[in-house]
Amino acid sequence: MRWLAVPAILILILTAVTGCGRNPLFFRMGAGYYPINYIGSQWEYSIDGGGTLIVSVIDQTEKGERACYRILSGADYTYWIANDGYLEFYEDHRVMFNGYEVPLYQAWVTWLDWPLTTGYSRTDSASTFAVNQGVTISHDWKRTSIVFGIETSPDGKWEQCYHLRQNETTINWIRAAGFEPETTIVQRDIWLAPDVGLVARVTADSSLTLVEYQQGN
Amino acid sequence: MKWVMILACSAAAVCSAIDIDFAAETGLLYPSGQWGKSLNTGVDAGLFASWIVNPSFKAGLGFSLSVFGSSDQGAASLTFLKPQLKAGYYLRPWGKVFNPGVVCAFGLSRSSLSNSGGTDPATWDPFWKIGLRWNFSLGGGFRGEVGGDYSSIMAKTENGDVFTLRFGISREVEL
Repeated sequence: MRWLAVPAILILILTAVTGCGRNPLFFRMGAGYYPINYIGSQWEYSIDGGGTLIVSVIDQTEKGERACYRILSGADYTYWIANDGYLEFYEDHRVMFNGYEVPLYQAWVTWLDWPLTTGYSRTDSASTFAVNQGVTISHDWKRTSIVFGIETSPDGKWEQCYHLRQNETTINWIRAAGFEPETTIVQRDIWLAPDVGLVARVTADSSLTLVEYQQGN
Repeated sequence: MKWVMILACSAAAVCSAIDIDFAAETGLLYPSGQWGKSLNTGVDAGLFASWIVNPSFKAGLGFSLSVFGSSDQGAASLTFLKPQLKAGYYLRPWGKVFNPGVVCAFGLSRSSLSNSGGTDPATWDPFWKIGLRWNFSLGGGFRGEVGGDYSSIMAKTENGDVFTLRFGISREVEL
């Protein structure tokens, strides 16, 4: 049995040597990086420059003929579907025209696929139009999400966060005399922490930082 | 590739003028725990060379490669590469139809996750496994084996536990 000792010792040495290559992969895979599937969960964010934003999971409801979670974010409702494999968001794009709110694009779109990885990338887009009061309004939308890496959150409180950058471009064009295409470009840097969700979000005009999180049931 | 050379040298040293059992194994892997929530059933294949110490006991070296895919037909894949030491004890080595046994192994696992063009840093962690076997003769000097393993990759913070349904074929060779 002496010969067994040699490879056994070698493997132990290798374990020690490769110890620097260890990381909590299974922990990240098992964690919920956007845990919206607990009714009553609440996230309290501080807004850079003053104020707070409360986000809470209100209930389960139906939207677009699918069961989903309804989330109150400030004064607005958003709708999400959480699965083990992916997270979907109900895109509800509207534009104001002549005093009327014109719906342009409503659909469930995958927000992220699980599990996230460094370098993960997904792009979603839509091109559509609506006719309102005899005028055609075209709508082009594109969102790209890229994971930059595994980081600690900007405030240093949350580890093993995925740093995600989203670039979202929207072009609305009222096809009538006097109107030009209206382009909106938004870039968001988002940090998602394991079993907490969004802990920081930075855009050109605002920054959110998680102050308190309470998980619901 | 340092570990490949070390294992090859160890195997060569062990294989001088002794009875060796060469085995090929395959299996279906079922993740146990939250880490596998977005993965489908995995598949596994391995090659092993074991010294037949006596008819009941054999011990040796080998490696296995396992792959998991997304549960939702997505693009994710998780792979394990496991160089390992393995030992098995069989109760009825003369049994043509029924030769039950137990096996255990330990080694290292390189776990690598990729999804949608991205790859997380691979992690090297120690792992162990234990399993039950039903060994039987296939004729022509070959033996078959079915059984189940429970294995655990001892990663940081959380382990990666897996249950495996195992199928194998082996042949004894005198060197």
